[in-house]
Amino acid sequence: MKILIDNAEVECKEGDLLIEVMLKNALEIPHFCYQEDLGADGNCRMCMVEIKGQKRPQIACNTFVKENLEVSTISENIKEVKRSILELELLNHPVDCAICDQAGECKLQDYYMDFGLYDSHLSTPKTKKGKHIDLGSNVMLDQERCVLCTRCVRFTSNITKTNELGIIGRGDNSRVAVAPGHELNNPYAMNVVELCPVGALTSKDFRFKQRVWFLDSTKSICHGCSRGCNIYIDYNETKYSAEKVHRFRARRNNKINKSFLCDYGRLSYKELNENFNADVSHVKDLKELLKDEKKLALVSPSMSLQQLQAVKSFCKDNSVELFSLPYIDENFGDEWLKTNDMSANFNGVKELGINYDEDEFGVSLQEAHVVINFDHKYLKNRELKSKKVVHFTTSHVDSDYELIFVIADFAHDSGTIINCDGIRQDFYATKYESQNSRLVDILEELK
Amino acid sequence: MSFSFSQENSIKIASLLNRYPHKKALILPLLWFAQKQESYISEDAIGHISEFLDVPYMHIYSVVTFYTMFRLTKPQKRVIEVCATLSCELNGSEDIKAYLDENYSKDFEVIEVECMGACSGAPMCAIDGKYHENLTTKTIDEVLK
Repeated sequence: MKILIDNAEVECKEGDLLIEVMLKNALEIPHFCYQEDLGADGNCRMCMVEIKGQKRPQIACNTFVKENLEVSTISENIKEVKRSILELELLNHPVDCAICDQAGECKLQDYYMDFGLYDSHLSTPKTKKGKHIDLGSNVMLDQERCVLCTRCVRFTSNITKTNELGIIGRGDNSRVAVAPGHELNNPYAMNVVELCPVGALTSKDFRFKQRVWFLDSTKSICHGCSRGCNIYIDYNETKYSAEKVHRFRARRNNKINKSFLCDYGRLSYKELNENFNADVSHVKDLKELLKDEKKLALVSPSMSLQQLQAVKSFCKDNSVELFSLPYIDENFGDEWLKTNDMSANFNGVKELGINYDEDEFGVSLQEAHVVINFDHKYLKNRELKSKKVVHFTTSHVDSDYELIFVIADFAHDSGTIINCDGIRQDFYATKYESQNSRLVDILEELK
Repeated sequence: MSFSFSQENSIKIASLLNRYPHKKALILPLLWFAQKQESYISEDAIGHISEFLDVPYMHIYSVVTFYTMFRLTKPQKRVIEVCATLSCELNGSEDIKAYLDENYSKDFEVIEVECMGACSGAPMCAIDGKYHENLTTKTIDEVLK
C-alpha cells in the first residue's frame, strides 16, 4: 500500500501508525511524547499533520494509515499550528540554554529553530517552578524546562513499574515530581534522563561537564554483564584532561535492550577512564620467563573473541595451561536486563573451548611457578606468594608483580562478543589511538 | 501514626465498592472521606488508600494535587470556604471574601473554592461544611458572632 506524504509516495501497511511510518522513512516529524519503546501518549500535540479531507489537523501518533491517505507536514496552515503549539510548550520555559546540559541535543531548541522563530507574546510573568530538585539515583529535575510529555512518568509506571514519578498540580502549575518523602529509586532510574527530550531531567554524573557538541560517539557494547546491551560511547579526548569517556548512552536494539540501560552499566564508563601510571615491562623479559616449566594463564571472560583467540594460540605455542573463570554475582541479576554473569563474553570462552573449571584451576594455580593474568579481576589485586606473576591489564594493579603490560581497553580496541542469549555483536574503537598497545599486537610480537 | 477509616466511613465504602467495575473509581470518594475524617489528607491516608485500591502512591498523590479542594496540610484554624464561581461572583462574592479577610481572618482561615452547587443561594460560603446562603455582611456577622 502507498500513501502520499508531502506529495511523495511512501510504502506502508494498512493500520500502521503514521508517526512510525514517517520515522521509519526518515521524514521529519517533530514530537515529544511519542517514543519508540514507550509508545504514543498524545499529550504534546507536536506531531500535528494535515490530512486531506479532514477539517482539523491530526496528531500523527494517533493516526493509522489507510488507503489513499494524503498527508501534509509543510503547508502554511500546519506550520502555523506547529508554531502555536511550540509557543504554548515554551510559555513558561526559562530559556536558559546557555547553562543547560541538554543544549545541543534538545528537542525544544531544534523545533524552535525549525518551526518557532516567533517573538514572545507573554504579557504576564512566567510561572515559577522548582529548580535543581534532587530526585535521587543521580537524577536532577528542573521543572521549568519540562514540556510535560510524561515519558519519564510512563517509564516508571509502564516499564519499571516502580511508579515513583507523576504529574502533580494542574494547568500552568502542573509539574513532574516524586511524592513527598519518596525518591526515584530503581536500578534503571537514569534512563529517564535519556528519555527526556528537553533539559528537565539531567544526570548528576554528567551535568556541567561537557557540551554535547564536543562529544564524539562510537557504537559499542556494554561490558558490565553478559546481556550485551548496545551503547554509544560518548567521548572527548582532550589533551590535558584525564577523563576521556564522558558517558554511555543506550543504542536502540529491539532484540536486547530496546532504548534502555541499567544504571550500573551506564556508569561503568568510569572504568574506561582509569589510568595506569607506572613503568611497563619489556616483551623480551616475558620471553625469558616463558622458559619456566609450570606456567598457568587466566584470561578475563570479558575479552573479545579476537583477544581470546590470540591468548589461546599464545598459550598453545608456549605450553601454558589456560583457564577462564566467569564473574558471577548472585545478587546482581534481575528479570529484565541485568544478568548474574557479569562477564561480557563468557559464551565466547565456551565457544573457544577454554577451560573454565574452577576446581581444576585451583589445583593448577598451586602448582604453577609462573602465572600470567590477562586482565582477570580475580587475580588483579591478589598477592600470590612465591609465584612470578605477569599482568596484562587495562587499569591499575595494586599487588606485587614480576612483569606488567598495559593493554588497550574496549573503547580503544574493536572486537566481537557473544551475549548470554548467544547473539554475536561487534563493538568499535573510538577514533583516538590508545596510548597502550592492543593485546593482539603484543602477543604477535611474542611469537 | 497510621491511618484507617472510621467504622461509619468503612460501611459507606463497602456499599460503594459494588457500584463501579473497577476499584480505581473510588479514588475521589475515598479522598473525600479521608479529608472529612481528619480535616486534611495525610500522607498516611494516601498510603492507606493506595494499598486499599491497589493504585500506586504517586498516582493518588497526583490526584490530590490536581483538585484544589483537597488539602494536604492540617488547617490551623476553622475554615470558611467562600465560593468564587460564576453565580456567586456575579452576586458579590469578592466583597464577601474581602469582608471576611478583614474582620475574621484572625480566627478563621478564609479560602476561595469552586462551585459547591448552591447557586440559587449565591453568594454562599461553607463553615465547617455547613452552607450559608444569600450572604450579606450583616448575615455573616450574625452567624459568626
